[in-house]
Amino acid sequence: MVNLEVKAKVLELKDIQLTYGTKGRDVLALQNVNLDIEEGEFVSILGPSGCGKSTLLKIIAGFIEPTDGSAQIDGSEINGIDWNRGVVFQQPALYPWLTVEQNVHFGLKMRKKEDKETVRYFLDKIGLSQFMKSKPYELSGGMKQRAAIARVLVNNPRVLLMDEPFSALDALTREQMQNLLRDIWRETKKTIIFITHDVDEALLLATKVIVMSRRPGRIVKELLPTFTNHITAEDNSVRFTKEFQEYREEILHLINSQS
Amino acid sequence: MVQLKEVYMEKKKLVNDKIPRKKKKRHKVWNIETLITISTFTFILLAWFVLTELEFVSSLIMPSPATVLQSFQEVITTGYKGNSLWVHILDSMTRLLTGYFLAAVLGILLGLASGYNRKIRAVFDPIVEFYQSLPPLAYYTVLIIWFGIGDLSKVVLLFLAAFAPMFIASMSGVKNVKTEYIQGAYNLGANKWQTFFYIIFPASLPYIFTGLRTSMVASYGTLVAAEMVAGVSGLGWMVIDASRFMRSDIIFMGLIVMGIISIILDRLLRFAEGKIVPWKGKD
Ligand SMILES: Nc1ncnc2c1ncn2[C@@H]1O[C@H](COP(=O)(O)OP(=O)(O)OP(=O)(O)O)[C@@H](O)[C@H]1O
Ligand SMILES: [Mg+2]
Repeated sequence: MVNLEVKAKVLELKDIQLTYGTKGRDVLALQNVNLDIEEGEFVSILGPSGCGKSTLLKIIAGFIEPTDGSAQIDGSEINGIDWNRGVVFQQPALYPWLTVEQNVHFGLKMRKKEDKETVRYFLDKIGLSQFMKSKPYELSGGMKQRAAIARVLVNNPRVLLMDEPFSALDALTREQMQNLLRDIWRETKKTIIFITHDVDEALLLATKVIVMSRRPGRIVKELLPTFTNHITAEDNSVRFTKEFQEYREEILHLINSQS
Repeated sequence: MVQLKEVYMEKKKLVNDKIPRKKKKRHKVWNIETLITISTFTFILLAWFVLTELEFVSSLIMPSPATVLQSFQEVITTGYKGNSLWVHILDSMTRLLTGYFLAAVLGILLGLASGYNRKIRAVFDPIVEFYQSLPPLAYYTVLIIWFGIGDLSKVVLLFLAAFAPMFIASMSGVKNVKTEYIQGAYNLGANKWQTFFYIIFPASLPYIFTGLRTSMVASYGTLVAAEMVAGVSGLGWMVIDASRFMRSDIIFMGLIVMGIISIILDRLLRFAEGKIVPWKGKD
């Protein structure tokens, strides 16, 4: 099937360079990073540890500014932190003085867009309705991460940025979370940028996989797998196909040849 | 080697078994630790009783429990030098709590502001750092010259003694708020002020409570000392005055009352802490 739909470009990174200056010793973390992301894409970023993946995400989130180059969202320069680029951290930083419901409601409340309905809807979607009156420290790791995702989703951001969100979870929970995220992506058609160090996870979720080089991080390869479209709740057999294995090996080779 | 491992496993199992059981026991008042504490105190009382009863030590050095109890009754009913024990306690507590509450309110506000804003910190931090290194009784002399020997100088003294730990704790509370909390708040759409009120303030509460408890200890100690140095009423004065007349029964009674009050104050703060910061140490 040929997709004739012209998709809007959401994110455009041009010649991004980033140098961390720490006590006289400069660390060049990113060099010549060029990346275009279209609306509705599920982008996974892979690369050796310390190659600058989190740094790249922080630039997109607006936590830090690139030393050189330009980062644009919908055609305008990224300027500071904004709820339209919602971030899910590796460790869900939920607020322990608020209940799960209040945590999820936080963004809407701060933006004076109070809407308990939406909160209920997303709590239901992530399966935490029963725990909405609980405090975050009463939840398991997976539940916390689900709440952290819901907290960002209620804002209906333009892009969802995730930095190894499932890496602290056990294998079974991780798989459930991957399926949940895929369902949310299919339903909301959100643009998602997802950092992981798990090649399988990237291939099972993404429509675009970016492989980065060792520090200073550059993009060495962009791949366009389609496995995620063939996975349903009952059937994830694509991961056992030859094609999947080939992708997997190619990526692993790319990463390993870096170090 | 294998045996050792087995023993270790066995121990681990025991420990693991104990965890859920312990939780159930928590609601019981008579757990083993309470019994140990009670036994310890019983032992001390008993030793005290025996030592004084057998007249190992003179009643001047250590009065018997019975005399202390008697003087307790006496001071409650007829009073010490004209005033009942309650009046002395009330005098002490009024001074303490006035100074303490003023210090808490101002210390928390300025501490939070100083933690958040470098310029505000540049004003207050050096001042606090300088005077908090002085023993309170040292600058009490100046306060007496300025505010007289009555209650005002004592309240100011207690205020200063309580303010420093309160200020420092609140300030480090703000400095220690997790970056993810703050970044997360901005990222969800909060502005600067919202982040301060909804995130930085509640995230600092565990530190603020540590500050509240530390300053209570500091100001309580200062209160007693100040009343001993320059007072005409209060628990500290009562004890120092009794010592001038060798009334060791009154001294002992006074010390016990001081101890009990101090424990009650700390328990109240800890109770409030448990209610207001139930997440402390859990996130
Ligand atoms: N705040 C900082 N100050 C100085 N150097 C930093 C800072 N943050 C990151 N770096 C350096 O920049 C490089 C990239 O870091 P980054 O966290 O982006 O890597 P990463 O790809 O996310 O690694 P990982 O997979 O381990 O999470 C690393 O070499 C790191 O040491
Ligand atoms: Mg990282």
